[in-house]
Amino acid sequence: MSMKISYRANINDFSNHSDNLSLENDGYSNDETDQSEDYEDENEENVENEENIENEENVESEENEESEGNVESEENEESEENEESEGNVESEENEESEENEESEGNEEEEKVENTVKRENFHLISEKKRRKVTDDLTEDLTLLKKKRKLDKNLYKPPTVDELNQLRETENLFHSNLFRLQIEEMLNEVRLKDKYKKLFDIWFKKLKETIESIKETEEYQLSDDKLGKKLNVHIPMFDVPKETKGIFKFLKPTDIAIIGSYMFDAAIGANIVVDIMVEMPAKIFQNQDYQNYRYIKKKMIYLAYIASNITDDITERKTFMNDTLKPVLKIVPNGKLGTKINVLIHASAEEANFKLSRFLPEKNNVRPEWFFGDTKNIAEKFPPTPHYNSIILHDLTMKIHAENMKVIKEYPNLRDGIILLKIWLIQRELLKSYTGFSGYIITMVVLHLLSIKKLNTFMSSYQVVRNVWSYLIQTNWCESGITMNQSEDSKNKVLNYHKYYDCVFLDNTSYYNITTHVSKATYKWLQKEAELCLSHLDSTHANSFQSLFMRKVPFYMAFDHFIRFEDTEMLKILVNINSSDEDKLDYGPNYRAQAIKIICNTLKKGLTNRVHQICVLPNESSEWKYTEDKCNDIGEIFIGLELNPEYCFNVVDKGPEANLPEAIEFRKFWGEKSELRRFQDGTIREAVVWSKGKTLSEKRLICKKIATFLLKKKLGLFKNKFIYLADEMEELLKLRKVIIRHFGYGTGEEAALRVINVFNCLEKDLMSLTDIPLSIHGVQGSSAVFRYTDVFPPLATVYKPDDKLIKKCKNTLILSRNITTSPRYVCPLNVSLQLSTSGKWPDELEAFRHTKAAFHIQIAECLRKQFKLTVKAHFPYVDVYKDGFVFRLRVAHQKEIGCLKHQVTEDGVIQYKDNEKSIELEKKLFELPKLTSALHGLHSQQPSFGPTCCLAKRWLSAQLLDNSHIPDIVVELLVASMYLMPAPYRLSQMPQVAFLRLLESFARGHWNTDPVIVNFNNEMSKEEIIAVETLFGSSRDSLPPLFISTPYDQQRSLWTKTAPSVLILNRITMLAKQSLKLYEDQFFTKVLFDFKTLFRPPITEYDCLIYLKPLMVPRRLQAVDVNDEEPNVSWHSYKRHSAQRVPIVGFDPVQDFLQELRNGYNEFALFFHDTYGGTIIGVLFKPSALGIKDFKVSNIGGRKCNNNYLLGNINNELVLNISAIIQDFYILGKGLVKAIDVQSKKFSLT
Amino acid sequence: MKSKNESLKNFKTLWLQFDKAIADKHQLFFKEHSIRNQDPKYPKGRTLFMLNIPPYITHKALKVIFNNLCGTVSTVYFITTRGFKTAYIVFEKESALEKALEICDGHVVTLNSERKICFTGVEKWCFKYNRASLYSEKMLKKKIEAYMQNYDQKIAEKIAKEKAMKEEEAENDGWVTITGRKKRGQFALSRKESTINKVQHKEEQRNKKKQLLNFYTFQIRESKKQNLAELRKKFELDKKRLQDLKSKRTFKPF
Repeated sequence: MSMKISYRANINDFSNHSDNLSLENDGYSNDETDQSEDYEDENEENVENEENIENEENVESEENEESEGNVESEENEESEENEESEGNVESEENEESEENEESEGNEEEEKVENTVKRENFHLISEKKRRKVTDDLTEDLTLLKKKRKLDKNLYKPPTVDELNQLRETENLFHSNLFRLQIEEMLNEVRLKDKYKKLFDIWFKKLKETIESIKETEEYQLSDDKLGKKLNVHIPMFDVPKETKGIFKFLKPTDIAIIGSYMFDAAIGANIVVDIMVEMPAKIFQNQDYQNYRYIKKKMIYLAYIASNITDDITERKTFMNDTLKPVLKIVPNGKLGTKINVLIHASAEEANFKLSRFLPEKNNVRPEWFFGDTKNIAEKFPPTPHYNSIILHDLTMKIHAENMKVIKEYPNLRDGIILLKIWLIQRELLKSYTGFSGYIITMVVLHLLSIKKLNTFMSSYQVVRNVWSYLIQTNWCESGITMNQSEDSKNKVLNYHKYYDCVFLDNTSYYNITTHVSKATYKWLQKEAELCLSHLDSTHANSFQSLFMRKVPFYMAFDHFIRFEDTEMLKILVNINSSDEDKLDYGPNYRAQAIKIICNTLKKGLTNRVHQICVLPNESSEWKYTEDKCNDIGEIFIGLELNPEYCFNVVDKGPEANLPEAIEFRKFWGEKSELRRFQDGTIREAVVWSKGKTLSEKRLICKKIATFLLKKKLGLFKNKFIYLADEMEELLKLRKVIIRHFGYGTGEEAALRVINVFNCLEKDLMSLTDIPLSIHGVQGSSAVFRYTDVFPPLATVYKPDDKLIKKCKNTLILSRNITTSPRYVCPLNVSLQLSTSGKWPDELEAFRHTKAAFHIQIAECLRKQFKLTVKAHFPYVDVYKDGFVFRLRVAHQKEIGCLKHQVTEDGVIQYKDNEKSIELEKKLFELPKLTSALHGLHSQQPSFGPTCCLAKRWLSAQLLDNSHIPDIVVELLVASMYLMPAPYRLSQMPQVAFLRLLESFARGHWNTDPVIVNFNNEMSKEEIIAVETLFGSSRDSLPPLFISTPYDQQRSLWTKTAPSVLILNRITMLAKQSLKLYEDQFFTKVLFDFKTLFRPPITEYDCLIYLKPLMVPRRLQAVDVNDEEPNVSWHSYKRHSAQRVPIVGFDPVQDFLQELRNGYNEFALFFHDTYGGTIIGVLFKPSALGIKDFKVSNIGGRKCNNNYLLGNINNELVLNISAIIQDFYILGKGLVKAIDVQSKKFSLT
Repeated sequence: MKSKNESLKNFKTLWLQFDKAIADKHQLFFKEHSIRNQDPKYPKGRTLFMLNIPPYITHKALKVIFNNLCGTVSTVYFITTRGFKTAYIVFEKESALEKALEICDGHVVTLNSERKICFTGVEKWCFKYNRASLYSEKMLKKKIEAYMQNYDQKIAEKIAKEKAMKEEEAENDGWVTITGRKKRGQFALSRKESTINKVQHKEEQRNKKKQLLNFYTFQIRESKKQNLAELRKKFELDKKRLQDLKSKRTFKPF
């Protein structure tokens, strides 16, 4: 009772308050004094109320007051009153219901709620007072608005709302997560109108089936059975000779089973499962044997199919394979677009004894199956898979009964829907070999029965618990059973002998996971583990990657093998499958082929792979009037490499004198050889490659798999497709011959640079003759983080007097060159000097002092280490071991000087500006990132080449550093590596690159910040701070926002580029590329990955063709001209007269820079940095229009006045012809031709 | 004629051609530079204000053009760095400006006619590269030394001046101003924004300490209310975010 009183008191309070509010609303013009009096009154009342709560006796008077209050408010303002009274009613109801439901324990909470409510009124009064005194002068309308907002924020909460707020905290991951779940569930649920339509349709179907005429008896072995029944009977690959008779009798039951029954059916096409129960009279005693049951079922379904009239169906097909046929019906009309119906034929449980189908029993007689020719031992081998097919039908009705429970608990149902979505996104829910929705429903039921789930749990909790249960249990070793009896638990042990996974139903005979292979189960477990850890990770918005994003098979693994020649596979099965398996699986060749191939691969690859998974195939369909043509389908195998072992060059076998050695030798054949190892043992071993380069090592598994398939199974290279490294081709050198080391995909070349750099670092640190010693040397070029697409190679540079002349200690260019010299990339290094207070305070003076240091360093290097060095004002070039390093002194004071500002009132400020940020990025931030990314590469050796592929791709699409800076691409890749969900880390650059494309295609930059959390240096709070910043000030932040531990809220790297336009373009291009890849992947077209790297050029307004010889990096192009001569690259040798080569001279880049500098306002320029000979020009539509005559508009335009025609209109038009002419002028000697292909403008 | 000038806001035009072989021309706009507060750098009566100069034109080229066209140019200032340039051309004599203003509208100037004065393309880049490479360290050193000497001198003068000022003050009628001479580092804080913020922050902290936040019942109550409001705010924010997400991608998983 006490609660009630306090509650009433609140209402009273509330009404008083509303009274005040309405007063106020009536007249804002009231004097301030008036209002404040009001407040005082109110406060007094509040105090009173509080007292009343304490003295519980005054119930009646309180209630009176309440009604009074209401009346008053009614008088004052109607609308206000309505709102409030409604609120009252609502909360009262809630109160009561809660009282009924909740136990005593909740009373306290209730009280708290009430106090919160009470407090709210006070708050309003507080607020109001402040507002009135402060804001009276403010605009009236503004005040009203604000008041309304605040009122919403501080209004008393209803019990419902409080419940919701509390629930979210306890039962869901986060607010946003809950909202997203709700949103998604709304999307996937079937609309009511379809349900109604279906109900009508189902009635018709039932009538139709029930009205099918019963037939007389026919012999099953009769060849003309089909004709006699007037149906086509699909036959399958087992002996035809069968005893028994068939007779169609009306089904004993027709019912909806499965997920539609409890509203959990989802998908693009909702599937409704309908069970048609065959009457017991159809079957004879021995029908469970020798496929007789399956044949009868087949005929039964075929007969139904042919007798369902066309007026209710659009299409009738059979589904699954011949052993588990299902009749699929697409209803006619609108219903058919949403709903597909599957008709399962089942048999009454009582037909056969369930114990006949224990896995150890034989139900297919070998003498019947193999004919007389084969003599198998007297013992009958067990046929567990055959048995389970029949068991499935027998138990169908029981399971359907069990599932009905779910109907009553919407949370459980939602949980199941979420789990199903999760599975569908991971391509695991396909057909019966995957982890079907049926299994996941059974898991939920099982967990409910063992009390791991309860009916009060939210859908989120259901999902979470199912995942953690999947991780905790291992169905391959200790299976589970829904039957809690001791007997059933013992059975599980027995079942393990025959099935990969064991999950017994409540009859404890049928193994629900009969067809789930160990690999699929492990795959599922790994996915669950991944998702659970992702859910727990600090990143708030995990919803998208858990439920919304597809995890396609071709991106989820590292290596892929694909078999599509089904005839060949059939032969493979006939040769390699054991008699027991043939008997057990019968005409299910696919299962046998998978078993054979996977076992072989597993045996040979051992610990090099984490898992070998097979993509569950789509259930095949065939017309009910035809035979099924193809039983196997394509087999798609994915290998997940184990980075610990997969790069090993040698497979160590057993020691030579052990008996295992013979077996090892037998398995590997001539590949195996005796080797002496460093630890002194002599072992059998298999050596897979010279293993010089990382790119070769990545392919060792491919080598092994190819070998095994050929030697063990006789499958030659042309019989299957192996996908692993095709795109890496683009990172390899073409037309360049290097003899002294293996180039591969460039990792080794980068390593060479880094080694030389380390030497240089030592040299620099030990310089003696400079006033301030060098105590820090940091590289900042891409090669130092393994992300240079084509790392520099050491070589000797000599003057040839035609192109290059010598001059003192450097080489210079001759006056008129017709061929560009080799491009030498300078490697940027920043130097930190020991601290000193003597640096000048003025910027120019500082720079001069810095230059003096450069000269001093150059002299010292020359003297102490005999290096070839040339100092310049802003940097020093050092030519060491064939590479050119460009050193710069880095000092914070220079940035300080740039930031220095004095405000009008003489306060000294330090403010970021363009120049200071530019310098900070170059000298300080980039080295920091370089070391972080270098670290990432050493943890994940596929990181570097992935970045290279990404950069190569972007550049190939004519997007270069100025559109999206290289370091931004690298950071995006890094973010993918640091947060790989929903994938696992990939060992193959190609797969990682595809994932990057997928993230580009999603184009999520506008809604999510990219967080690159190196070494988890950012705490959860910091990440939340970044996300809040992003949420609250999205518009003022750059279109792509990247936060790193070193630069959390500024997003330094994306401030100027990429723009929204470029981001959209990237998204578009990525979508296209992915589509191209998928098309190639799923059709039988030969793979040509280069098409992904060929840009569309028709959409540019004009194309500038460059002279190929003037493009220094022409050999790096995607398509190198075959006529280009081979270049052999000599290794570096020290020479006494060596000079600093021509460094960083790339006329194309100079040209582009001048173009962009001069014509940025009118056009965008696109070019492939790596050997592109075309520059695409796109004029901005806004620049092409006619402009008013204004000083700001004059640039690049001409007057539109035509005095001859007397037409003076003061307008400006773009002087396009002159601008295009300028392109020629600027690129003199470089431009070959300019092709104007746009129709947007004419050149006259 | 007059109407034409008015139509272009008193701008006059002339056409610029790169060389004889190229037919396409840029139209340059110019007028006398005259505004109320004229910078002494651009003296009145001698300065020409010019718009729409193509990006490849250098100081030198512009100087040569107008030397030939009107009369000796003393200096050329570009006031933009990107895109088409805007320049102030200062002549030595006022007559040159007058001459410039008399140029008629259709006039065509050829840049590289007899003598090449504007280099572009590969030639320019090679030249630029070589010039940087040829600039020897010795020359660089000399330049730096000269600059630094100059700078040191400037600083020394500045210090001397300050000292002189002080002494001057000291000699005021024999009166000596006595100031608290503290040791180094103890002078009054410099007027930097960061130090000002720091001081303010400290002050705030001190004030905060003085307040009792959890003392009165109304304070506790209010903080609870604030909590609820906070929760609601977050809820609203999330809802908004969801709307954003919704607009970006539908919640259809397949």
